[in-house]
Amino acid sequence: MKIPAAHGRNFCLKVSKLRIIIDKVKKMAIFKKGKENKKQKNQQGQKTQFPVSNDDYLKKELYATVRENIDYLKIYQGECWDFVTVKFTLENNHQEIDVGLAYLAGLVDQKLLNKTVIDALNRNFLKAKKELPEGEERFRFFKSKVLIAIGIDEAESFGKLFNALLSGDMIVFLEGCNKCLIVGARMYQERAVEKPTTQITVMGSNDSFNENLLTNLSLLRKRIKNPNLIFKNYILGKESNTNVVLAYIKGLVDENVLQEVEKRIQKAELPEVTDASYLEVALREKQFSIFPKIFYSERPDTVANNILEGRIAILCDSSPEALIAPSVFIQFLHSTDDFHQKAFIASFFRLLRTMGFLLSLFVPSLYILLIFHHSELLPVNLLFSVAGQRIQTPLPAYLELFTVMVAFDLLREAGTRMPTAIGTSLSFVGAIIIGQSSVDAGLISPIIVIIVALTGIGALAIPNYKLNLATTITKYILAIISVAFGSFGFTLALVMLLVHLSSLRSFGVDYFAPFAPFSKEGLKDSLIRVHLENLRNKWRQKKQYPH
Amino acid sequence: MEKKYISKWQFFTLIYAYILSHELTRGAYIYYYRHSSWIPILLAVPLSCLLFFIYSFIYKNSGSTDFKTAIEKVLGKFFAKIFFGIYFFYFLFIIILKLRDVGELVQIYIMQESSFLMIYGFYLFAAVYCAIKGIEVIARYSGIVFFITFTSFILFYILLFLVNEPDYGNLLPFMPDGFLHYVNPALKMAYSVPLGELFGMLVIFQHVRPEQKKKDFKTAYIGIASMGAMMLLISLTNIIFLEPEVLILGYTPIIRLWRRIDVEDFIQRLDIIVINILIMNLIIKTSVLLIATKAMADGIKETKKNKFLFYSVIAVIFIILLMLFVPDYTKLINLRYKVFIPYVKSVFEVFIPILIVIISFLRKKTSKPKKNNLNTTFSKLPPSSA
Amino acid sequence: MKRIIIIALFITSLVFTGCTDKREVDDLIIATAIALDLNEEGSLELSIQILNVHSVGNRPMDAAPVVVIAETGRTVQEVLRKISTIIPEKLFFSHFVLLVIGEELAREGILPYVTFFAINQDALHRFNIAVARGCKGKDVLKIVSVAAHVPSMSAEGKLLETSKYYGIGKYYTNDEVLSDIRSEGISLSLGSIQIIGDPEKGSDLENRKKTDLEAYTKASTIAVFKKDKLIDWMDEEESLGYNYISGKIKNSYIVVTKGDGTFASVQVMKVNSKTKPILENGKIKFKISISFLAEITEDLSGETSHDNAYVRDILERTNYEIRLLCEKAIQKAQTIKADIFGFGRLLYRKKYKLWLEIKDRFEEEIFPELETEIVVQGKITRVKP
Repeated sequence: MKIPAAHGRNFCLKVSKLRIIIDKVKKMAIFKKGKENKKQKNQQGQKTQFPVSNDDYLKKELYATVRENIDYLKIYQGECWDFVTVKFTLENNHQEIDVGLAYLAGLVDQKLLNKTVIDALNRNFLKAKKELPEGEERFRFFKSKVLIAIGIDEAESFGKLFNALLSGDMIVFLEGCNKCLIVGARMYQERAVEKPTTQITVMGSNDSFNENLLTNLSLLRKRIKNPNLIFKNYILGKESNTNVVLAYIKGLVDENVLQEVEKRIQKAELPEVTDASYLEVALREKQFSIFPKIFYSERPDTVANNILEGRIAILCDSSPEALIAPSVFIQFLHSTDDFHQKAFIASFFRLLRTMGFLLSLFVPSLYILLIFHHSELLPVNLLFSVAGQRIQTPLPAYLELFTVMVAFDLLREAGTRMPTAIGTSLSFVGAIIIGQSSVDAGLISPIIVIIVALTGIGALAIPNYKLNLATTITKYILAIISVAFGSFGFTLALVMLLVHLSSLRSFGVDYFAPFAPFSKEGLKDSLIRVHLENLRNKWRQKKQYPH
Repeated sequence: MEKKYISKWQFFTLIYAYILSHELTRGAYIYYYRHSSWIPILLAVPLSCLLFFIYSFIYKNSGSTDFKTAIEKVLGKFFAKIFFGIYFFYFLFIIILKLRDVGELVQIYIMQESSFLMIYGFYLFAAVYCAIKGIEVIARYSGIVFFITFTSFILFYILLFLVNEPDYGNLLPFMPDGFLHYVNPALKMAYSVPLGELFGMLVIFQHVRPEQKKKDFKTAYIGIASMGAMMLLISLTNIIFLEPEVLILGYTPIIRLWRRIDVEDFIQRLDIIVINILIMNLIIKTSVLLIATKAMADGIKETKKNKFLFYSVIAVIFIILLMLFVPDYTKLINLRYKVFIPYVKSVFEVFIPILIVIISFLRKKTSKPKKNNLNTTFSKLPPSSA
Repeated sequence: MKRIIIIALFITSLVFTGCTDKREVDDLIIATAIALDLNEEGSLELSIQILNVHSVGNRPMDAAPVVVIAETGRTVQEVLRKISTIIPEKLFFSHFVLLVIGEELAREGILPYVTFFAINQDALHRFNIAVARGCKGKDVLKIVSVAAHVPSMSAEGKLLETSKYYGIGKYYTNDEVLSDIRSEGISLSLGSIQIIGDPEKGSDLENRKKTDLEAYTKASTIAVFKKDKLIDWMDEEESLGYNYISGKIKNSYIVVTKGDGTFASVQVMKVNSKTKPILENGKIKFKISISFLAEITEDLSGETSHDNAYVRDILERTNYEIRLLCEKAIQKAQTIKADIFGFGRLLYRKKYKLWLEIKDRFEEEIFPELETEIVVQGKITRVKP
């Protein structure tokens, strides 16, 4: 800070004295406490924030004897009811070897265990021609000659062993070997491949992903028989150790996006990944927005189409939803049904769906604008009839609108959670309560019911559930702004919404893509759909994203 | 900070929105030139293009694409700082005037009893939000707004012709007072309202993505020309459908025009929709000028962080100043046409830039022919967005 | 932290919104027509026809569809504010269709009133202006209209428009009226409405329940103004002639007297009229050429034929009739020295230099002596039965 010299020493003294005082104040206890607390918190880091389980096993090497190995396993899993260990001795002409098996009862294929493994162990061991010394030779013999063709893998550290054990493989310990054998004998109890619950199409395949990762991958493989299709595996989540697979076609995918996705996955420190939505936390963008930036789907044909367009699909174990990155806004208004029809028909229905989306966003605010602020825009007959209706209702229009909208949304939310037994009766009750009785009692006017019903129908036309949620919140915000600020506020809120949408990026790709940075190619598959020949070939030639 | 790029087409839509926002105050000229008020516009279009052509020499002669370095090369560091300081205040001045117009428009037509504070507050909030996002986002948004504006104008035109009968006789007599009578307003229109104030766009021009080693100025001309054509069309239809005597009521003649549409009493009073579309375009102009202001401030002292702080401070200053200006709109109109346009704006838009261009020419001749560093600046093209 | 600031700002700004102009639809008092009169003491009386909201909607009461409220004052603004002591809410002007001006008030000048309603922010759409002939404007509003319930937009307003089928009325809106008053070279002319029957009985709701109407409104002939003051009326033939010359007739009829005295009627469509000023020997002469398409729709003698001679005969008589009407109109206008056809404006447009010279003398001296040549040329396209 420059001190003007012209004022002389007195001024300098005063300023320096002031500085000393300020320093003293800063050091005072009140201010210090706050800072110190903050520092302490930062130093302690994440360790005191949530508890972490014991992960010493990750690097530990295997013991040489069966007994010690099983004892170590029992430290961790000994109290579990489904943890089974079997110790027996194999005999042949030359020697006796102790063998230990460890597995988790619910995950393992019992028949395989009984028939194949133990049989193989017994029979094939008899073929040994000489006495096997401890160590590598014994291990090699067991791996190649005794347990042949039963999906063999080997492990040296407990980390890999636990991963296999908890996934449902069977561990075979050998006396005198520092390694163990892993027999792949998984048999999960899983749901059958059924129809999708939320994304249903009229024509086309109707199978959906289920919770088993391998089944999901097989559904994808069926559709893309391309040797360039890569399923890259990651194990995420410190506590849950879930398998996460990135699926893409090498050569079609955009390298930048791939690097970005991988970087984010590796950088994220997640304690658990029990569902794909937890992954979204890792993959999220820096910019806050209500609108969803990662597309999800539970239909394998949608995912396969997206992979073939050059995107990356992220599948997670025990989650029937696949995430697709990068995604743009217009994708959320598309449905696979569009590609099952001719271009013209599909375009019509896409436009209809877009209109439904716009309706669900704007109808409440437009209603408020027309009734409250700009009654001049209404044609006279409509104005008179609306005025006549509204004079008989007690509440002011905005209160009425909000009440009915909240009731409608509550009803929808309740409808998704209730058991089917009460389902029909509740919807009946809802229709009667909100609809007829209120109107008859004179509480609300019939036109509100129509408005809210229009909104709801428009929202139901949106194919993707996440956009549905975002739209619901946005429509409330817009309605509040139009009540408070009129059409001027509505316009400005619309401006801010558009600017916000235009500024979003999803993994480096512009979110509002065919509209915001205007691209003629992108428009061909946005609100309308042109013939397939126009679409696909040109993308391949230009190596661009379709939208 | 990575330099942001906008494409040629987005520059075109930006200019379109920029000039469309001048529709608000076109009305004052109609008072003097009644039924031939379309002639000055027609003459002003090439003049405005010429002016922008002269502006473009600042970039061409200094050989760089960055506005700040271009000015510094031409004027030298010290004078460049003075230049930036002066233009900083000039841009603020333009924004304040525009804000006042917006406030007046909204107050008269849309919300009669709202306080000015609320109108300015919300408007500035939206403008500051857009300015914080950056020029790239505004350019994308202007693409969307361009489509909305264009299609709605075409629709409304069709409706207008369907419903009303045009009376082409309103255009006669043609140029009763001679040609020279119209050159003066044409000149004034070229550098101020409605086809002018383009110096701000020059600052934005530095962001246009260079293609093939040359910056294309053609899009600017196309933008000015097309917007000029549209304005011409609007003023012509104004005169054709509304008699000149009626036109002079009110400052915004375009509004009266759209009131004429009345299809079966069902589609009526479309002027409210038109006002909202105009507001959407006005936001673009305000935020673009805010970004230009920040560029000027950057020229004096680099402020890379604190965009939020900068714009909020400016917004608060605006509100305070505007509350002082509130009561006298008619005085402002008079001041504007008697003092601002002839003396203030002509200096900033015409004389100083011409001076700079002349200096740049002189410098170019006196300095040794250097290697064109256009190659190095354009070698690194940014990744094209899909 | 930033987000909290923004949200807090937003919520506080909701408090400061000056949205007192928010008005609910049912709080509005919708005005459908307005009438201005000069009452006996010579002060301004304004009557507003207000929609009775209880008579519309999905459970309407049996009430009169409109209510007329009247007040007096010195200026329009004063009267409107006085009315706010009678009505509980603020008036909503955006939908009114008709402004009726009483005869006495019209003779004093209508410009200030038309300007007031044209500039008022709310009411900036097009509404009709008419003069009340032989009655007060208030009475016109009070008549319970028969053709439709008020929600169909104040049947009186539409009356003028439908009268174009008869050809004597004029459907003029506020913009055009203003422009005519303010421009040089044309005098204003407006359509008018009159009441047939007893206005007192016409305001009774019982009027509509009978098959025999006690009172009803009727579109009447054209009123001629000078600047903005009413000077005279034109009768039916002259109004027809005026409409033919200005080309405002789109679809009308002519009754033709044939050689043997019987009548035939010809439907005249697509009337095109062009006026041109011609300079002859230093004097101005106007040539009016009217062309139309016609159909012979009815012949009272019962025999129509497609004979060339027959058709040509009727055509000539139609031409003659139309020319007669036009000449009558021009004569009347010249007698009252009001240039309602816009001859002056034509000169202003086409012969600007000449107009500058004779501008001041045109209306008083030159116009009454003007020579006009009317050429009517039509084509008969069809002969019905």
